[in-house]
Amino acid sequence: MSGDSPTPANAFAKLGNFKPKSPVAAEALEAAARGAQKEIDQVAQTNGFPSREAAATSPSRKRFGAAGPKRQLNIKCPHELHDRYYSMAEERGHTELYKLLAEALDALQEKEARQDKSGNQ
Amino acid sequence: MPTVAVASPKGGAGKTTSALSLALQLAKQGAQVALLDADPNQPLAAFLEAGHCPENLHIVVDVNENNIAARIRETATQYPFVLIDLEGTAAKIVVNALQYADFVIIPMRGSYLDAKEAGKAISLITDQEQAMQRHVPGYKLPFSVLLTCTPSAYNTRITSGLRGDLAGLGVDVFDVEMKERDAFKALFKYNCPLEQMNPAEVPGLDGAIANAEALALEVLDKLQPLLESDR
Repeated sequence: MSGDSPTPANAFAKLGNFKPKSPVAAEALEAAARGAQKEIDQVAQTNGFPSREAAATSPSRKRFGAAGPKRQLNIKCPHELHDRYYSMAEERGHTELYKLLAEALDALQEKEARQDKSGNQ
Repeated sequence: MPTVAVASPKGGAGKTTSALSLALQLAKQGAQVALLDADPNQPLAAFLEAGHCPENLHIVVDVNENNIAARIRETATQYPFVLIDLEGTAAKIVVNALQYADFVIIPMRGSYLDAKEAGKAISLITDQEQAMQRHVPGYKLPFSVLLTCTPSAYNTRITSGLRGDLAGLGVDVFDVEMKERDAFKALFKYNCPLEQMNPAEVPGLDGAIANAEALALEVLDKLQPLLESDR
């Protein structure tokens, strides 16, 4: 059982009997493997041989409403305007104050566009 | 023709040493051999990079769970012998490899703790064989347990007991054992075949070479029935 005895001459003569797998045999084995894939996956699961490959990662989706980088805009304003700004933002359900400013600027531009249009007519 | 998987969910069972020794001996005798390193740690990469690999031994290190079927297919139609050194964990890559294997060697240290882990591999092979039989009547996936790291000078009672127990369960066990030898460990120090090592630096080279040759011969004997099938 030790396997330490000298190897007889020509002991490896049978090596020449082995040839590469024929494409037909390879295809037959592959077809069988494909056919049995569901059962084989089940066997892997039952015997506790799970996949250990890292799952392919997809780019993370931006959360709804997420915006790009922001910059600070500090504006001093009268006390009344400050309170009016906060209450209008609350009424519209804004949790970020800049959204009310964006709406106000959009409304201003629309108003100006309308005025330009009526002035040109 | 044969694709031989070397598998055990137990790390340190001697899979890589056995697979590399077997591949080197077959290559030494002139066979064209492909050895797939399917362990994420790529234990054979250093051996390949050292540049002492025989020309007729093709080591493939880029093997993972997703491409192993393709790697086996590519090599099995080009090389008479394809050996797969699998990772020592219970992972899906083992299952994927066994789907395309013709024979499985299960290396196992001579201890009952290791026998328990080898039992998981046997259970997997048996279940996988049954699953394939539903699609290919008469399909067989033969396997044998290879005792490894056993004392080189004597047989222990534990080892003898294990042989008896495995035989009682109908499990085929190699007569040859991969003995605990410095020369086998030196494969990963010098990254060259045993025959190229310096006997002054590595003791017991002759014994290790004879051991590896005996393993290769017994593997060929076990593969012989495959010649009669079209696998």
